[in-house]
Amino acid sequence: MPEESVSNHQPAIISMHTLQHLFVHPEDALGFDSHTWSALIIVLRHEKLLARYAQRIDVAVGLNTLPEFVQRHCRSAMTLAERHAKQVHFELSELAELMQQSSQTWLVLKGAAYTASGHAVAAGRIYNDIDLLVDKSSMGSAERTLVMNGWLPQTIDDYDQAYYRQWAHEIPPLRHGYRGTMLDLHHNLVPPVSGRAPDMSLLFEYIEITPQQIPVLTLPAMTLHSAIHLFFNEDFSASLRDTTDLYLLFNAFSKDDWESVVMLADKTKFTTELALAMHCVSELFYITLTARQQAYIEQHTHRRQRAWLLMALSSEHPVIRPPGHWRYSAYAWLRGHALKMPLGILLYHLMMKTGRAIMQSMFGQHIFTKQDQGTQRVSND
Amino acid sequence: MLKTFELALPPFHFQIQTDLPLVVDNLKAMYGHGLLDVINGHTHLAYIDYKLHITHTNGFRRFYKPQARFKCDQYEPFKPLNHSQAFAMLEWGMNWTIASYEMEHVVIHSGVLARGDEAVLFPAPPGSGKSTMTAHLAFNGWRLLSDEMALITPLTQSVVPFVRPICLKNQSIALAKQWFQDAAFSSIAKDTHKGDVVHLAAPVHHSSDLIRPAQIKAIVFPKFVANAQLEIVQLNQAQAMHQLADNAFNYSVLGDKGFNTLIGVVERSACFVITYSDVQDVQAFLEQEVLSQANDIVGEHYA
Amino acid sequence: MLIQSILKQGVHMHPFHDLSGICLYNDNTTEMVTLFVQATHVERLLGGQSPCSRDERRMLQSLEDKGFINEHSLSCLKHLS
Repeated sequence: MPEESVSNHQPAIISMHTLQHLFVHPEDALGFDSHTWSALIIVLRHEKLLARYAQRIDVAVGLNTLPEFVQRHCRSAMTLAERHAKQVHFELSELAELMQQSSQTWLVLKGAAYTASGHAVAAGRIYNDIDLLVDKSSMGSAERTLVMNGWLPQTIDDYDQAYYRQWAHEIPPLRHGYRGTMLDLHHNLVPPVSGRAPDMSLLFEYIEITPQQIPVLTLPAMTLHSAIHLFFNEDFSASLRDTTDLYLLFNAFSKDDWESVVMLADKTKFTTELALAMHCVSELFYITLTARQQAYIEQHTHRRQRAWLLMALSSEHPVIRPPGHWRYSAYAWLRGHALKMPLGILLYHLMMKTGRAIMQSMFGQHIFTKQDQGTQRVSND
Repeated sequence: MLKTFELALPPFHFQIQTDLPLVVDNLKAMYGHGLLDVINGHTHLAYIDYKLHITHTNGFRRFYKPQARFKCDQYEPFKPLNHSQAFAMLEWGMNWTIASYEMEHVVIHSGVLARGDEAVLFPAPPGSGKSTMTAHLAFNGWRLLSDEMALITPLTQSVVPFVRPICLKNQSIALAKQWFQDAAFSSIAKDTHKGDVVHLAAPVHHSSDLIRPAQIKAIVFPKFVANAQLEIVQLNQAQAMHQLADNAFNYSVLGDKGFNTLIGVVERSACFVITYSDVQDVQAFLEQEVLSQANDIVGEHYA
Repeated sequence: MLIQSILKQGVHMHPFHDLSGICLYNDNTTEMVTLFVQATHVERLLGGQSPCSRDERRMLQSLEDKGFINEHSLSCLKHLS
């Protein structure tokens, strides 16, 4: 039975602004009614941010100040995030042994590195996979060692296989035989075919070893990579989470870290990505920039580019999505592809993907999927 | 036309959107007044836990072998099914949703029935006759807490009701229709991965049945064998744990809390494998040998 | 040798009250295994006081492979002659 029966004309309206505000001011969580919370929880879960917000609210005002059902969802999300973090720590300790045997230089990137580093950005982070980077000459031996130790290549179709091998900066994802953890092995931050792949020996100077003996990038280099990953990419589906990553990374900066990140962006020629990250984080999370930072952004980006990307970072969830949003995400998607590949290759790649998309829109989304009885049962994956 | 409903199904509130008349009819038959119509945006419940959608697929398929697709918010865990199976798919989708997101309870794939406040878990693979047993007990003096999912409060023996229709398969459908002639049955979903499936509305005698927890006293792994004599094998704790863990959805996410919960339940329960052909034999055994005599006063629920 | 001394960090053990066996839970991998022997029996095998049957050896080896017990803790196993 409903605990209280109320009649409410207006389903809660939440906006991108609500999400931005709550992230910066978690103490204002106290002001939301149950309808707003219902919408917020669903959107935050979709954006892979529920655990992170829950954690910030817990620190600010304590979860027990929230309605009972909100606490329930927050605790469930935090439990899942804790399990993710535990699993990442364990997998990395196992992987460290294999990587030391098989590669000259190796390090952990992105989400798993955030957790390993213990920086504030680890809080409430959830993952789909673990990203490792090795020096290019060790790629073959690293892959062989992983495969021999139960990390098996996934079945992907021939087109994707060819794509990875020919153009990408990573091999097709590996999956651990019985634990099911996914692993991506990279040899550069961006595909070499883009013509913008940095000399990795530059980055290798920015490796530090965590107390658990896991190599990760230093805070400034980790931040630059986070910016590259977000803005040199076609996939904006987790972009809001990635922007909160950037906020938490920048937030932990010392003065020296600022000098360091600017220098590294310069050396690797990712000044535009760094400037866009500074701009978007400051705009979304109400941070006042110094005159020098403002000048840096204006020097390395265009006004329209900044405005469109900022829009593209907005939540895609239908509860949030402003009308016309598809135009911005299409722009972000096209831009990500154009950055990574010269035009001839770009056409080929788009054609293959789009061909399938059109067939799907004509015959229903699922006509191509194999009949898999296994997925119809209740499963916990 | 897309219709919106709210469904108060303690301990959760669902919003369900559908454009399939078959789903609407079955929802009304199965959930009665727990199902609330949202008209012109007029909502009833103070909050919603999960937003579910069950709709036609797009494209030409809509006209040629139409299919239904299930989504939990924006996420689609299953491949679409023939639209005649849409209501069963929604029920499975609800199970999937709770098994995937609910970490406040240790969730076990199991029937749960109680006499008074003493509960018996019936974890069992399909084909064991678990749902036939569930249906029989639910209409014969026992209280149904769940047909498919036991929600156990961590580190206790307390199981929380999640009262849902009973999912009957194949031969048990005709049997149940003969046994419970006044009960509400859903339309039949033919040729699913479980065979033919019909849902049977849960008998709810008191509104408190939907929220009152019960304490686990026994775990029974039922095994239906036609014409078999009743055979009861008591399991030791190691054997019971081994079998129970196979049916636990989320203990791995809950970690040692989940592990210790399962251990606690096993150590404080009587555990049996019961081979049977007549559900009444099992009922008599449980009532006379397993549960405490004090609960005989619950006869008021007899149908 | 006490069984606790060879369990890997993050592995929990529970001996059942009815002495029917023990249950190990590996929080690192979230795997659970039930052994239908008592802890003291495992300890005798590990300490070399009891000879180890082929099945027992296989069981212990798989505990090591799946990260329940430390590597090299099976060195003192005595084979069944």
